Amino acid sequence: MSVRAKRIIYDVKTGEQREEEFDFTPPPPPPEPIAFDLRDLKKLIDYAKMMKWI
Amino acid sequence: MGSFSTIGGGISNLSALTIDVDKDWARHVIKNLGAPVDSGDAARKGDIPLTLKKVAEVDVTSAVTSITVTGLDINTHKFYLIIFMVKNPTAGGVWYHLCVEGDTTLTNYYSQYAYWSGTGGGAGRSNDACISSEYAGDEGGVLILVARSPSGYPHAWSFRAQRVGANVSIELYHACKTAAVTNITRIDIVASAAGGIGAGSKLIIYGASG
Repeated sequence: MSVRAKRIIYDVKTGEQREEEFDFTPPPPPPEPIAFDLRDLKKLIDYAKMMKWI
Repeated sequence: MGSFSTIGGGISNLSALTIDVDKDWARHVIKNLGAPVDSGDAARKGDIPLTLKKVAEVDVTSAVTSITVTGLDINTHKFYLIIFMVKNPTAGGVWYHLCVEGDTTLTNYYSQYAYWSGTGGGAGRSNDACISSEYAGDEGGVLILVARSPSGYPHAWSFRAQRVGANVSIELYHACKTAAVTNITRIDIVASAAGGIGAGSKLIIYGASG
């Protein structure tokens, strides 16, 4: 659903800055990242060493 | 306005002029014309090293949703180095997107990101033009480099310095449009929520001169 929102328009050639309203539809958020922790990776490496996989 | 038709002293052309190079011309070095050799020599335009020129500076005095910069010319400026200091005044997280040439349809871009906070990290790819984000009520800065690839695809690389004190963390983004462009004359920074670019935020764009 769109809402009225404000934006700044800056023209490099004239140096003029102005504001105007426009219809804005919020985009969906990006998908959740795949998160990890280096301590888990270290545990995995230690386990692999213990099992003599590496 | 003088003329070189008559220099004076009986000399009628420049090549006949003799300069006393041994004289102390107020410690200014007098040399023959030619390519610059020493550090104090006057440089020709082509010899001047590439320097950064500030192209735009936008101060946000009240919350807005996007900042549009027009009149750019990346073919002349070669690249754009952007510093975007932003405060998210909203009650939710906000993502910031960088669009070019007026194409603000976010699905015409892809963004890859990775972040680190302490020993924890994460990564993902989204079908948008994301180059930064801020938590609710938080603020930070992002350094963005915009350039066209040899095939004309517009790329934006960004490095985000996030949070303060014991919570400092970093985030990297790479956003790219799915189609090539012949120039970049306009850049839009678009927040994912209305009013997501708060008062006190600042956008500075540098390009190459020379």
